[in-house]
Amino acid sequence: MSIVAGGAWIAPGVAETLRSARRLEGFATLAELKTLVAGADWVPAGDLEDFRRGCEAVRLAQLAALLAAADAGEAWRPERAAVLGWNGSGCAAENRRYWQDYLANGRDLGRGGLFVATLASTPVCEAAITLGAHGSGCYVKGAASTRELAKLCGETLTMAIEIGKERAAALVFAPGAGPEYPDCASLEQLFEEMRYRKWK
Amino acid sequence: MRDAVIAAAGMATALGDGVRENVAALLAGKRAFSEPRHFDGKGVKLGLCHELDGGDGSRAGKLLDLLAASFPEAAKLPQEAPLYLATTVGAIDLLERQDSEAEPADGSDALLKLALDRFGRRRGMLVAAACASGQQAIVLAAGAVRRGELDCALAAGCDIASEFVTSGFASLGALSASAARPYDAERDGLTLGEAAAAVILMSPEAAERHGFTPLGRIIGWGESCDAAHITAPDLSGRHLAGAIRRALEAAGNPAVAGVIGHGTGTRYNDEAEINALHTVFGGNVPPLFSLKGNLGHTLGATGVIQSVVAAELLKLHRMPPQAGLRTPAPGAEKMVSGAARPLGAGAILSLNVGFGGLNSALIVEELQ
Repeated sequence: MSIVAGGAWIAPGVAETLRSARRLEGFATLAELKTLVAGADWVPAGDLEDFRRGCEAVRLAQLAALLAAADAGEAWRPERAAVLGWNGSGCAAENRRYWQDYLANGRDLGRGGLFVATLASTPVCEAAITLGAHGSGCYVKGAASTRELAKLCGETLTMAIEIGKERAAALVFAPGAGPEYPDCASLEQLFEEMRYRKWK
Repeated sequence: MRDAVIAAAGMATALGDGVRENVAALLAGKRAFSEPRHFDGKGVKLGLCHELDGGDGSRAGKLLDLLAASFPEAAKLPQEAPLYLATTVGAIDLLERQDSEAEPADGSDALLKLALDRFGRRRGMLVAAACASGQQAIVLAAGAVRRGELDCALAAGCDIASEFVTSGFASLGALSASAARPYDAERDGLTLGEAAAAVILMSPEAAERHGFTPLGRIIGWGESCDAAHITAPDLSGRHLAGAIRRALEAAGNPAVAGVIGHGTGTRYNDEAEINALHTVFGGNVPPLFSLKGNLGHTLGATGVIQSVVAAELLKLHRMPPQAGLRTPAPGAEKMVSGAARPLGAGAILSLNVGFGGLNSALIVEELQ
């Protein structure tokens, strides 16, 4: 049995939290959103050292995770928390970017920073670094619904992150009993459903 | 919570096809490194399955064919059993061959489709935890079996040796100039390999019902993340030690007869592992061995291979020699040996470590 203890959603120009219903808007880039997040006193400090060199998926994961952790408040305890990447758009674009750069450089040597981004687990791990989350970390693709995703989380406090093109959703699944949440095909949809139900 | 047993297993590696062939080669200390023929490796040696060279289609598809041929028991797997597939970049050679204008091929998705087809599965899940993907896939599958959500599942790992990945590890300065020497004082990096491996995980009752004689039992696991650096491990090994402790606790604190380490042969990985093992076991660290000195670092496949090798070694009561070892690394003197050794009573602890600081500890026990 698990509950959704908090969440966040990012789309172009807007970021929102679930439980606290906070809203950050008017940013044109993720770097600008980072500035807004860093200036918000309700967001806990996070390690964003890799933000500048990270790809878009990494930046979205870091910011969504930070906002969701802030939204979960005291329910978020990073020491044993897991971070789980789920579905989304994968990393085919990052793979292409690394390979084309390698070809453009005469197949001599690749660039390490681009290579690291080719792993689907990289945004998950960068989010774990940002949050100081020391539980398990992995990316899975194929669980068809948020109910199946919750089974994967089991009894572990888990930050689940879904990264798409220019958008991300992060929800904190925590062990415990509470109101049942709707079964959805994506975290973004679950966020929307719960927000419209004015869930608190 | 009920047990999850390894009902059957298969593997295809640079050492050969089949579990027995691979375990015999490990016990003989064989090394299987050669230069690639399917791309210009610039002199680097890899653990290659040369029968995959040439022809059309993805090398990964052909590797899965080898695995399927070495694994006839997979045909007995009930159709409803899902696939948990571990990989780092999947059929990445599809992207290597693509025109830059085309929609980029997703190597992992492509591999999942190939694997679902080869093993006749209706549903599957891709599991990516960098070089800890293999054990992570087993943990997810075994967890579902132990919780009673599934009676059986297929957990597999597959990665090919490609120019894409070889150039990437070269860019990080992680490749050995010759061949990997895990836990050696003079180790200078890892050697990549390619492999596919799979295990059928079942409840004991389902294994009996389907006519399997299980190889071993998964009795516990623990995971953690260093959350420190995207490529380098925490050299103290404290979070890896935490994962090991969690695994031991979950397994009921069994005696540990031996450890199959991640042992890539890089300075950082091996040092972190040695420190973690000292933290957990003090001065009484069990015999340690890494198969990456034999067949290379097979990325998403390595954790699956390790779990199967663990079950086989427990039956044989033997620990393989550490291939490539000349002088044990400081701190590993009492753990590693260049000679095969008897394996005492107890379970085997298997370790995986991945980029991003991902740590996985899995405990395999012999079935009595």
